[in-house]
Amino acid sequence: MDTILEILNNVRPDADFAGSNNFIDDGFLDSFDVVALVTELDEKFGISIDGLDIVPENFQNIESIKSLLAKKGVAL
Amino acid sequence: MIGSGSLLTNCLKFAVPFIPPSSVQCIETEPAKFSNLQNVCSANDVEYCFLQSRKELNTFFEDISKGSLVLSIHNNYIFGKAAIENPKLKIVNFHNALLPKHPGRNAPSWAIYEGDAEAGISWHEVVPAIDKGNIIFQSSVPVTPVMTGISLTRSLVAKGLESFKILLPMLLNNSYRAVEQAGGEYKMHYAHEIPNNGFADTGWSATRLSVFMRALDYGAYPVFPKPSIMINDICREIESYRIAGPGETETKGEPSPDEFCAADERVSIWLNLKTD
Repeated sequence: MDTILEILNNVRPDADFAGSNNFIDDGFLDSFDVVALVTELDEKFGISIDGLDIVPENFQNIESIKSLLAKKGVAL
Repeated sequence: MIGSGSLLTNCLKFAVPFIPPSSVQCIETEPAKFSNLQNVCSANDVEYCFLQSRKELNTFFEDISKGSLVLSIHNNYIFGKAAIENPKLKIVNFHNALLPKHPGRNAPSWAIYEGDAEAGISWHEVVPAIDKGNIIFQSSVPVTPVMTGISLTRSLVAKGLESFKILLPMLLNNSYRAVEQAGGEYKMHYAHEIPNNGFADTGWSATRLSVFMRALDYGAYPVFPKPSIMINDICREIESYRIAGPGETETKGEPSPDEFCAADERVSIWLNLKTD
């Protein structure tokens, strides 16, 4: 399974991330979920996503999360 | 319904099947980056508006002339006297503490910092004094030795929704009983207040340091400024921390100049200090 999708499913096991293109509008990620997601991404990839990066555009879907990770130097 | 955040959105989602959408109105009072309240309102034909101006909000509530239940959830707008005294309104507020403990802001942090064994939520009637009205419903959660500001907040939000599901029928049928808050000191926490003014103390035990760091920890959200600690008369900002229980061992050797470590019989803690 895609690593990002796996992490997302750990954060919110009840959400259908694979079937969504906008996790925020679809109600799959709220502010608490995003903090949990950021913690998991930081730990998994050894990076530090700071508060300025925590904007909806970076967490809308798997592609936008991958773009954020790429900006942090993560090669996926 | 007025306020912001996921609890408001989830309470609305739960309430919609029980109330004609045309009789519900949602007011979001703070710009929330991850809010989908407007979408939920739109999907359920509930009127939505964003209002931040205190003057506009006061006028809105003063002018209501039809009997209305106002549910205030994660709402930082303080209802004006005229709104509270409007005989057509019954205003009920959600607060994330076991009132009368911790009225005001950042209650979960204060519950951790002050070593409360339990935290909780309160639904209460709104009166002119903040978080002082009669209690309609309360529910508690234990404060565990690993809880942080954000994890306790999240637990309390879940507890808020769970309690709302029990409370809503009582509110709609007016079949609840509100009881006066227990006596004791009414000590308001203001938004500008930070536990110990944001300073850790090298003289504290590891357990005390752990409590302090966890109370201020909201992950990537800057609810509080980064805490600091005075070491050799130099103020050092604490960038991050790590806590280990008594059974866990630290494999590293001597702490670096950018670390501060403490240990007692319950925990070991490592503070990573910002490099000057």
